[in-house]
Amino acid sequence: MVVGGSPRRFSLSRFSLRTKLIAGAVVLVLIVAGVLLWAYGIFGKPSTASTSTAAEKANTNKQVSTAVNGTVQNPDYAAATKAIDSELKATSDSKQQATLYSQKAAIAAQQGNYQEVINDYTQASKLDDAQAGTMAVPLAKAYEQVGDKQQALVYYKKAYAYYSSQKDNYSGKQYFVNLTQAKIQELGQ
Amino acid sequence: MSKFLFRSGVLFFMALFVAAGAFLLHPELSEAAQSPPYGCQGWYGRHDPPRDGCWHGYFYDGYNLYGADVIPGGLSVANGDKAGFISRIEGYLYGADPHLKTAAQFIILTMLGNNAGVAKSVSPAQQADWESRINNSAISLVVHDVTFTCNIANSFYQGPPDDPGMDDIAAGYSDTPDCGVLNTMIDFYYTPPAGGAAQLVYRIRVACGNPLGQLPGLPQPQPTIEGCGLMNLVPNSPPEVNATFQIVATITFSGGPNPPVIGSNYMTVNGVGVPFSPPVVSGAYASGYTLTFTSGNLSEATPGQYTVAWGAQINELGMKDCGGVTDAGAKFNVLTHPFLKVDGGDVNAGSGFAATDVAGNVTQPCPAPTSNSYAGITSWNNGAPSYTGAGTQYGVFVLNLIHNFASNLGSPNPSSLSFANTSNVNLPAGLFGGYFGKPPCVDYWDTKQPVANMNALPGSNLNVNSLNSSGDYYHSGNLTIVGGGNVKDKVRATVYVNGDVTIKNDITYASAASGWASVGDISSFRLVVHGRIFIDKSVQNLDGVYVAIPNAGYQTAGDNYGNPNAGTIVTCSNGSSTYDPNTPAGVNGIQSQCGSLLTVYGSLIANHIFLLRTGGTASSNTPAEYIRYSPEEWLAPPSGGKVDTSYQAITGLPPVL
Repeated sequence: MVVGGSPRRFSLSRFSLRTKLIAGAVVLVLIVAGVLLWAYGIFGKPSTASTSTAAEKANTNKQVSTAVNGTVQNPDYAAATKAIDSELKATSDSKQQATLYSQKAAIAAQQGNYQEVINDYTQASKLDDAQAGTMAVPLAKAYEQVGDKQQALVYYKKAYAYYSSQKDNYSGKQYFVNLTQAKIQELGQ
Repeated sequence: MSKFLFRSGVLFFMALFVAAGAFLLHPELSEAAQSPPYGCQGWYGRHDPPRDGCWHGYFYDGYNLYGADVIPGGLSVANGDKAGFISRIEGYLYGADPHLKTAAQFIILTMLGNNAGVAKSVSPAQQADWESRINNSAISLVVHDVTFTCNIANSFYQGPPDDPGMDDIAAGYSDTPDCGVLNTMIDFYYTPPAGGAAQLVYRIRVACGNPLGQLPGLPQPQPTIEGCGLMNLVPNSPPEVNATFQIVATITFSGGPNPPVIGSNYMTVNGVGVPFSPPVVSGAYASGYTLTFTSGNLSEATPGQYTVAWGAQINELGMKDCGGVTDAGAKFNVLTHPFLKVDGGDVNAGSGFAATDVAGNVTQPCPAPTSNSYAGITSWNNGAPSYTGAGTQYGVFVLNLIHNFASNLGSPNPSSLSFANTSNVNLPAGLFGGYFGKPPCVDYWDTKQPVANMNALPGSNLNVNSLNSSGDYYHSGNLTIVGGGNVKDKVRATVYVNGDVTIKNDITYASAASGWASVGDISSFRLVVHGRIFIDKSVQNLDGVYVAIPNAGYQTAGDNYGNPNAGTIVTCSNGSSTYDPNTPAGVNGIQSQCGSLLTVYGSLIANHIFLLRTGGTASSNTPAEYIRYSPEEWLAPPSGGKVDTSYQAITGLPPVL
């Protein structure tokens, strides 16, 4: 027996357009949230393989950092250079490549391979000239070491121009200005 | 309703958005986001997350964002030039420029590893410590071109003109464009003593004089081990078995931290750890240190040679081992203290002899009483309060000193029956009297009856059991007493021998152990030898009186343990060969062969008695030689003499001498 009116039937036509939009948005958000939860469950937790890769990557970075920054004496330059070369092949980002060439230059300098320093810094400057000013002194020193006084003078002048134009509280400004002035005078004679 | 639905939808959407964002953030990133983005936290002890440790002064914690280079114009020294570096920094320290003075204080104190908040001054001790750390051979000063990572901990000067009213070095982070490219650094590398790569422990960027990075500073230099000191015992003499002693050993070293840091340490005896107090450091930094190990109270139950080893880790150095099997100075001996004990009779040293020539003719009658510097007694006595050990129950008559040999044994006064006891008495020093002036004379040989009246022994071997009748016997030439027989009851014999006698078996009275039925049954045995008496190592019991008569001139003949002079009794021999305690073989023989107790119920009379038995020891009050002047000697007159039958009782009365 049925008491009251007729049974209710589900019909979208009963809802206003705004209500329909809200409900649609809620459903959409729920779907997106579900997808996100699923993705986090699949990709958010690092797998054993990715942990291993991350550890290897961290170790490689440490090797490079140790060699470049000189945090131990006589680090494994060969391993660090190999790691940098591998990174160079793997990236197409010019800024990152510039950084990697700078790192190679640092390793070469510590090993007394100044022609390699020149090559690497030159390459780095081509890829990203943002550090051209700060690279000028090491490049000038490297040219001095390989006996190219003319190029050394060129870079000392660039360095002087760079440092002398910095604010007075630029760290090391006075030292670099004094150094480059003296070198310009020495090499310009 | 529609507004409610709209608002609810918006809230729900926002909640979901936030939830989704939270899931999108990796947990590690979330944590990292709470940490300071730069390198000041932990920089020289700073840990201040809300401020991340940056821009605060090292000495005063003042806050200021900007400042100047730590050393304006930079700090240049030559590669490896430690002296030049020290000179430059100390020049700043004592110079007039407050900026440079602060820089020097900061560099010195941070090189010493001090954290922020330290007093803004450098004491002479700190300066000396700093110099010693730099001059430590494990530290290398390297000036070279390397890079430094951007945003690492840096430092800057807080003071005029940027920060008027301040005078400090603050923490910063390095965002200069010079990071990531080659810069000249003054780097200090430390090579650990255990080996391995030299580690960067302090860095100053030449261009600005700024210390860079969160580095620990220079470690304290390692000391120089001068050597292992001597090992000594307390008390300073070879210990007796079971006696308490201590071992004191040292290691000497100089330099290193002040005060030094002592790590793990050990002390062993024969490779087994022994208790010892923590080693104590004495001395001073300037003159060097001594590390002293003192053992607890030790004792060893077995005689022999023992080896001590000790060692310690001093600061970071590896274990310094001392002693051991190759070090003769680390060995000590534990000895028994064998001693002579006498009951029922006196001990006399310094008596003269009526001596004979080689043929046995008396050529030197009893001498007049005289002093004799060789006539002393020395043995092992346990001292106060019991004075057990070496001594005699009755009196001691000695022409020279009495040393650690008690008279009136058993009493608390070990010199009470010493003759004399009017001088040379110092009981704690073991001096129990001496210097008696009137010794008796031994004239057994002089008073014997003519040889023709005596019974001749049948040969050079004698079994005393073959003596069937009382009387005097005579033998010319060496004689060996063998067979182990007993002297028969009622036999009272005196055997005169003009030669050496070797006693290879016990000589006992037949009924001595079981008891005599009557005084007339008591045996008597006397052996009077013009020559030497060798008592074999296997002999344990002798009954009777044993006399060795020397040749004329015995007073100046001296000792010869390897080949004793006539007039000598040797208490432990290998047949007719004696053990010479002055030779290693002889010592080994004495130690290994002479350990059994020799008990003599009677007397030993000789110019020299070599007491070579080694059994027992003073601390256990077990003698090596035990002479007991038994009643048989005076109840049974020798050679058939008669006891006065009118005696109804015989007893000892004081003075018991």
